[in-house]
Amino acid sequence: MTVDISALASTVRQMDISATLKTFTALFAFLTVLYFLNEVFVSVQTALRFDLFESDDAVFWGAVVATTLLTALTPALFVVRDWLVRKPYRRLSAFTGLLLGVVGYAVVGGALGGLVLWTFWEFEPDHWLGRLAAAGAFGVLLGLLTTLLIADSRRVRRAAIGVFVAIVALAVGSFLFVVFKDAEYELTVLFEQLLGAFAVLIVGTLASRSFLRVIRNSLIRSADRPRELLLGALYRKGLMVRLAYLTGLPSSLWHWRAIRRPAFWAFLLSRPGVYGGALLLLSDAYVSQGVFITVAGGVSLIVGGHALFFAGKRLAARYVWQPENPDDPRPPVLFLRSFEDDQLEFRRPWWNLIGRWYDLWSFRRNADETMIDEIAQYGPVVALGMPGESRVPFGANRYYSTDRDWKRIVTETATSARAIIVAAGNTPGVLWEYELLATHGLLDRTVVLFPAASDSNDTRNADALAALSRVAGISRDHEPDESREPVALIPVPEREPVLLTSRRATAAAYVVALRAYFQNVPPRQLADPLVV
Amino acid sequence: MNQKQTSPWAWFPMALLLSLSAYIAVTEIYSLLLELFLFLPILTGWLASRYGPRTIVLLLAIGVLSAVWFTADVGYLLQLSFGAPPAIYVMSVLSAVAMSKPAFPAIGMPQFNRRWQWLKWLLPILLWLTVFLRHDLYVEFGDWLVLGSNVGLVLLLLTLLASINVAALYSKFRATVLADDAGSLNRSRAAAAIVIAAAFFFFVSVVIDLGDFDSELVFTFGYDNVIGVVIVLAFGLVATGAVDWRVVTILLLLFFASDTLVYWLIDVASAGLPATPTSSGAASTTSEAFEPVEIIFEGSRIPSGRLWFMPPDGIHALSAVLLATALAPFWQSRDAAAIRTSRSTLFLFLALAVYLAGVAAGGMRVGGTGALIIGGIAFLFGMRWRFRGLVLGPLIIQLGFLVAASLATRGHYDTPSSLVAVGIVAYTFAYFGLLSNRYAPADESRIRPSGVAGARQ
Repeated sequence: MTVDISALASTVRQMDISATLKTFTALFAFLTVLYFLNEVFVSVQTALRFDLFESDDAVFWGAVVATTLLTALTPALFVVRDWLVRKPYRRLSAFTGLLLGVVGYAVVGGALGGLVLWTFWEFEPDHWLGRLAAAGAFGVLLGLLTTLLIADSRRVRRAAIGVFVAIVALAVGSFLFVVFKDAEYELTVLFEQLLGAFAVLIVGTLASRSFLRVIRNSLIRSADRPRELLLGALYRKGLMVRLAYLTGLPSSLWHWRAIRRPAFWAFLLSRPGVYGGALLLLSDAYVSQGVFITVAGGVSLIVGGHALFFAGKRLAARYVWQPENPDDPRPPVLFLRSFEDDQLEFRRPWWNLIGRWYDLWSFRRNADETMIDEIAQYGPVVALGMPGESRVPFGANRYYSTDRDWKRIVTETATSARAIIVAAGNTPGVLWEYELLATHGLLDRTVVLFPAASDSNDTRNADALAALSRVAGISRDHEPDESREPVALIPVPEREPVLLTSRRATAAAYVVALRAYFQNVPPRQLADPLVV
Repeated sequence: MNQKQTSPWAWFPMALLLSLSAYIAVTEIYSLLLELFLFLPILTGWLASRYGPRTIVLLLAIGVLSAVWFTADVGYLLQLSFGAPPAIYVMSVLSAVAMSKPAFPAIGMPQFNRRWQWLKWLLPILLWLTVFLRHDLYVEFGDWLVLGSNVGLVLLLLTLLASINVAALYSKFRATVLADDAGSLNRSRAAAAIVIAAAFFFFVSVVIDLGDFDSELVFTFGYDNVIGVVIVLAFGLVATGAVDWRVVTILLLLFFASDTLVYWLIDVASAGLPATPTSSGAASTTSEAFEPVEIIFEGSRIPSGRLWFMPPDGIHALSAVLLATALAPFWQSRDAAAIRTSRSTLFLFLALAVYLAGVAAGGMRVGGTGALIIGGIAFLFGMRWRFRGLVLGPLIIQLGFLVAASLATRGHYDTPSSLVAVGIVAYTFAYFGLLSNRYAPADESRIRPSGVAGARQ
């Protein structure tokens, strides 16, 4: 069975980005709350003094109680919100999306109606030519929207948008021509007005996009699908786990003992540093502190935050795997791959710098660190280290074996592992690993991840499928559509394994595959989230 | 919350709240019309998704609200009203059907008694009388009470009562809603059902106007006009595939043309006599007074217009037929994929074009039967194009409305209120349309079997 997870991966990507952005504000929000609580404290004292109590002591303690209550409640709201979003209240989600949209389209209707009133008020409502011109303008927009709706081809939809942009540009050009011709306006005033209109357009577009995204997410959450597939699992529930998740720590650090590790503090403080730097640059601190100090301070904080994040990765990578004497009693998650795919890098366009930045902060640069972020909560993620490696990468805990004992270590670990993640390949070592998994009956706990093909001559995935078919009986005539790339082969209890495909083998597609296996999600729920 | 422990009746106060509306004159030019009843279909849709067929009982109770209209002037600037227009009630029922998964249709269409089957041929004539001859029986009691009755409606209901197998319908109703054994229905229960139905019909066919008729405080009960029945009937006949859409279209044209024709014949026959004030045809009174809202807000509303001999309700009926043609494949198969054809798309946009032609002709009121058409079109947008339909569908209807309003020769001061109502109704039903995809059979093209087999050892 093949399931196309493109749409779900796209949704998960959006939710990942949203969660990553929140992690920057989570800790800072607490500090902001403290600042505002000071203001609240003063205000409450003043109010109590004038309205309720005459005794200064009563005023003071009343303010203390009110402020303490707020202090306790406000951070809890972050946790409560996340807890609520993870609850399977499907009807609540559906109703939220419905009401939000109703309000939104009522506002749009009011604005359009107001525009018409204004237009007809300004331009002689009774003149038939004016009415015809207004109808024509709205008609053009109507035609564009209708084309966008009914055209199944993306190319046609893009062309429609291009035509629309050309018409708007023509209209703006005509308007400017008329204005310059009359020359009644000051150019600077005109420029400011145009700039203001442009800013309103951009803000309006971004706000509409966010609004539609909220509606879309409400709709998706209202479907029959585990929330944790979309948001990521919290396997061991608890306050520490929830707080650690909200502050963006990888799941390998979601326990109280992690507080003793330097990596914990490096990760924890790095994000507020970046967020604080960005806030400083956007603030009006340059008025009081001067431009140089403000810019230097902001940039230093941002750079320092990034440096701290990298330091956190380096510190976390120091912990090695000791197969003979494991410090974690839980069954491990074994990561098998050829050393060519040491970390199984995810592919992304070079020009997508913002996307790369998100991937950096959400641990989505390669499968190795994604596993640390997503599935280390189920058990320690372990792997054999590349021989001769001088710098241990951030990812699975490595063990540097010799040529003599690596097969024994892999065999013993695989048989006791909770899950085995294999990066598909065609090297002799990987082929031996396929044999091992088949002969020991371990394929029902094995997830095969297919690396993104580097070019059309890259036969790794085809060879891997062929090898799997040989050792495990998977039919060789099975291949995904030409328009789809294989992402993963996951086992399904009591059923045949499922091949997950996607338009592009993105980081989010691999995340969906890993979550689907570890959360035991039925294949039906991996299809388009707006349909099922 | 456990469905078995709660009852849909707990939501009845909410339905009462949603029957409130308010008209606020903000300035001499700008006014605000707050019609909470536009949200009633949202409530019934949600209740149906939650309680399933058990919602029917609540829907019947809400039906009483559609027969009630109460209005009070609170000073010069504010007018409060209570009640829901019948068209909105019909929409509420339809949204409940759409959201209940395919459980409501299990009740099925009513069956005719064999002995009285011939009576159904009388129904079209009685429907004509009901729609076009409304003010034929009323009694005034002083300045504060008017009792009236639509004789056509009384005859229509009596004929329906005689010809339809009420006992069988009641039996199916109990089996579906209350999970009773259909075979256990005894004679006394069947008789009780007939008596209750007759009493209900009697009450809704008597119109009571009570209060100060200078619009300060007025209470109205009963259905003054039932032209919405024509629209729903035309829609139902085409959507279920009972009658071809071309036949229904011709019948509708004849139906509404007959009004003008009959009046013209009367006019010719009574040549020489003084002209009556309603020389534009009996249907004009219909279109002006179809809904209580239009009576109450007569002074503040744009009067409905006509497109040649068709009143706005006639245009809505034609639009409903085209819409039903687009929706018929889904209605009959319960599979959303069935409407993804060029034919459905064509008829969908034809329905929208006909509706907008009515708007351009002056029928800009949205809270009545127009809402039915907008809701139906938006439902198809959501079902056919899913999220794209949800985002762009309501915008297309709103912009279409703007184009039509721009071409209309009347004023535009009501346009913002109408567009707000269009947005609310269109989005709501596009949303329901999108959700109804989930009740369709699984789309096997996305999860297709392949040759991967036997990987597990």
